[in-house]
Amino acid sequence: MKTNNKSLFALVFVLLLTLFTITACGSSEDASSSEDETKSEEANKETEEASEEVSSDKPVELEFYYPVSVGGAIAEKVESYVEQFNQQNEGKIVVNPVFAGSYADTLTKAKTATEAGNSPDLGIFLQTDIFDLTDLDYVEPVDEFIAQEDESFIDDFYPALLDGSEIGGKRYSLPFQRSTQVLYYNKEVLKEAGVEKAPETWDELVEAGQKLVKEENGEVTRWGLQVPMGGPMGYWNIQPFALQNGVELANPEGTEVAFNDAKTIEAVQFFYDLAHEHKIMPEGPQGWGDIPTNFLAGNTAMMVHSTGSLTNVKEKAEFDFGVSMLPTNGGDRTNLGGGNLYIFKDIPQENKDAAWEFIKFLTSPEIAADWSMASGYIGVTKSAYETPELKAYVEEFPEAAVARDQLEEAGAELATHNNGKVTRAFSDEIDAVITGSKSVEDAMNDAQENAERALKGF
Amino acid sequence: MFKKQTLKVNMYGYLFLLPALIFLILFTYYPTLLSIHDSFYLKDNLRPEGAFVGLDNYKYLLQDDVFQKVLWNNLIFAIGTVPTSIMLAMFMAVKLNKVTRINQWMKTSYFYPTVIPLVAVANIWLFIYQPDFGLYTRFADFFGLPDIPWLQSELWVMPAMIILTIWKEAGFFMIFFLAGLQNIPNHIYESASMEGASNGYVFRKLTFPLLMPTTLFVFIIALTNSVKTVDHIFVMTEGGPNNASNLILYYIYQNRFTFGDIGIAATASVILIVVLLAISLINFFVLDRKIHY
Repeated sequence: MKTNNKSLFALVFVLLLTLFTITACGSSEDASSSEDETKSEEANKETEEASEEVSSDKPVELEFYYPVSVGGAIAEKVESYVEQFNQQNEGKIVVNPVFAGSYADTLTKAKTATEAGNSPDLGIFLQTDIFDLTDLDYVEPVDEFIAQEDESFIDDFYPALLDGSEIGGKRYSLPFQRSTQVLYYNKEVLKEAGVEKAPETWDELVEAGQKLVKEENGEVTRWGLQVPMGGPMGYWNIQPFALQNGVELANPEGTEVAFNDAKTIEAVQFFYDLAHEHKIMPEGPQGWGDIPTNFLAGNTAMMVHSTGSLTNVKEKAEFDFGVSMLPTNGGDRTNLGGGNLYIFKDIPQENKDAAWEFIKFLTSPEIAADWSMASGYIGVTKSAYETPELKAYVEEFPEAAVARDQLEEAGAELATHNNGKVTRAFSDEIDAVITGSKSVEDAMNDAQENAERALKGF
Repeated sequence: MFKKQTLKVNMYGYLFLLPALIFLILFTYYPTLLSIHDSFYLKDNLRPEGAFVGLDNYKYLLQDDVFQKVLWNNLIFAIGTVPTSIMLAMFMAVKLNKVTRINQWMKTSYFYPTVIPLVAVANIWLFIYQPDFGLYTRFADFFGLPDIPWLQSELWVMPAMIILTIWKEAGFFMIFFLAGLQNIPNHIYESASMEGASNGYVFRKLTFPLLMPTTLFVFIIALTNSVKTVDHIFVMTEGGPNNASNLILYYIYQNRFTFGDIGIAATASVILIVVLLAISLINFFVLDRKIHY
């Protein structure tokens, strides 16, 4: 009997332990999904209430994912817009901003969350993420919302910025933080080296670069030019050279690429030669974040970088600098880049409506103008440049308008179905070229082959 | 009666195992089976619901240049990190085994990299390897050594990762060896010194063989770490340049989350599982028998 008691006790103990484990397991799952549940519960409640009465006591909560990929206090700025919006819509809408890292990280997080049934309500993703997001059917077209507004609403956006956000006649996003690449140059150094103006063609670029390189005891102390290069974003930095040489890297449908086109090969070769033949640029990969630092420290006389870095450079430069459009070989001068605003599909209608309100707020002239001044991104609408603030700013600092003016000569950013794999295939081979492990032609043929494999079926 | 008793006793044993088993099933066996299942399907952005393709994913991976490169990289990474960090750790442990004040300080400082999270370590080393104003470049300039483009060249990026990993891990393994040394009875050394054995002889004939169980344990940890730890790749290289620092686990992550290719990620996972299983089998059936506890 005694032993029986003991064993009974042990049995109960073990069962309790098991039970505890299971509940602990369950409760942790609950915790992660509870937010989601309350959200949908709230939404349900609101729909019920809305059908009876228009007023609802609980505001719509929106989860807003955003990335930061240029220097400066960009995140704080985004948070301040959110705060402003929340104050204006007190009691109705609450936007919760979620900083999600780089563009790639933001997309990954949004995809994973949506897959798990916990989709964000809206977010900023690359304009080129459109194929991924629509192939997976994660995002909502915005046409119906646009139709509710005046016609002038959509006409106000710069057409080049709207390019590429339509598939099958449906528009899926609106531009927010858009950039082009521009040439930053150190005016003082150019003057000192006898370069009269910023180069406008490839020949002028080489010529100017050679004058600007400074050597001491056989070692370069100042480069003529630096271009960010290498890594997963390498495709973005090499694409302008292809465009300048008159070739589009992908078709608008996103099903074909031209990586081994003779003109692409020529463009990549030109880039390679800038370092190895003309010696105006350092060899090998160059970090995206390191280049503005080098420019500001006077280690390079010119750099190619996003307009998104303009404000950062302006604040930190201790010398007179200029900004100009990229030199060309006859084609467009630059590609576009940057992020658009997307609304997700798997959320209640109230949330979609509220998300649209937030998008209207973010693209309103005042915010677009302020955002452009704070970051250097292009003001997305014409009326943004009509605001007194941005007008005065451009007058005093004409460089701020270079990116906008360059829109006339800008081509669409490389975007295809299965975009991650295709751009990676291209970027990897660019890495192989600049580190000297493959010839340009071999590398581009391999890139084409790998990209075609990734595009099979689309 | 006796049989019933053992059954009962065994029952309790199993019941006590149950909580752990639940976790194992939830987080190990179920995902493993799921991966095996998904590895037979083409499942990506185009076909989120999945289409059965048999062994096509395996064929694809075996022909994929990147995957081959990644396997090769992982092998080099393991060969570069495992023996060196074990030898270094053993050396440090033997040298610092005597309890003196200075040795305590040395032990602490060697152990210190272990307590820093790998992501923080990666950021520190990112600065050390930075080509223009990084610590190594300054150091090299001062002593007239050649500049090395650590993270910018396909040749140097792997050595850069290996050095970082050894720096991070050797101190951790040292702790195991210190513990191992505590278990070697002192009288063996006393008799050895009475016989007039040299230091090198004592190490070769006494310390090293008696540390063998610890060495095997550390070897397994080091080997699995070389497959498991990829945090620094996220921070430092994202697998570049041209996949020269891409390791298998990062490759799986990339395919699953960046490219959305669930089928390929699952297939690579299955291959990884098979390789790890093979390693542990070799460990338990071959190496284990050659060691005297």
